[in-house]
Amino acid sequence: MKQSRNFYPVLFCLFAAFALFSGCTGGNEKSNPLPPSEPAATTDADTSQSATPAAKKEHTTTVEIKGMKFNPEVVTIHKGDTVEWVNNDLTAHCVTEKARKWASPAIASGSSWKKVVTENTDYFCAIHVVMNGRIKVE
Amino acid sequence: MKKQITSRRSALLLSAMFLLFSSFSFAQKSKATKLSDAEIASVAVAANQIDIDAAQLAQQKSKNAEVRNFAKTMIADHQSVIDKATALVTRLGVTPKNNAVTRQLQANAKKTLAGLRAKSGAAFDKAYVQNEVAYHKAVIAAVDNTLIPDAQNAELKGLLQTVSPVLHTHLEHAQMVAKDLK
Repeated sequence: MKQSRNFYPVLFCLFAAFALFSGCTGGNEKSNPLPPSEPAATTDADTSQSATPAAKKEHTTTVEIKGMKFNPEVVTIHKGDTVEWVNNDLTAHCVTEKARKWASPAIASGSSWKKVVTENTDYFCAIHVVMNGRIKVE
Repeated sequence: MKKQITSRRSALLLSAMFLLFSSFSFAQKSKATKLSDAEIASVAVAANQIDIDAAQLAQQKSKNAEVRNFAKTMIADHQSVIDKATALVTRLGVTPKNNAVTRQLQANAKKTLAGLRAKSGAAFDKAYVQNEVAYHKAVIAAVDNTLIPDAQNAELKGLLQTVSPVLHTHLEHAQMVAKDLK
């Protein structure tokens, strides 16, 4: 009997605390929605990245395509890094692995394309076959 | 007299490789004439269109994958240059002005195309690619030594400077294909 008298205030406090917590969360959702300018895709991407337990940071090395050359022609990266080719040239280009194991689509002037690279790679532009580049993985 | 010497030289070139005629004439003529920006725009568009026309013929006639790929690149790149040049002169309010160099380029290109149309198979491939080597050499000389120095507008000069490495890459590509065809 004594035990049950003590039980009710505790239960009430627990219920009140739960109600208060629930109310704050709900209130926040209503009063502070995501800014409409923030794209949902970005939020999803951020969430998925933070949810990934691996602390390994994605590193991107940029190769600029300009003056009908890959600049720099040789880049050294760590295994699993991303290489991004940015086409600042007058014409479209592409990136094709020397043995044609993989190839980008045509990269229009002002566009870019990226790929995670895990092994040493010699590549060329299949549109302008005299343009060559190399990725060294260390 | 000078005209006779030029004709004799052209005739010799013609006998060796008639397709070179237009290219050398283009380089010589444009070097001797000071061009205005409006005339440079006209020459630039004509020079690019001529190479597109030749490439379209190659796409129709050639069965060689390397030649066809080269021709495809020529069409895409030279069209890209025409588009950029047209957009620039439109923005600058410059109307391309027809001139002697443009007319000579077009007249010679007509002869070159006629010569190419008369060929087929491996002979066509060889003639087309050899002409591309000669044509790009001549256009590079004209762009680097005449059009860029003559251009008054900084943006037009800048565009021509951007076009130059494209032409050099085309030349290298054409030389590579020519070597493979031997």
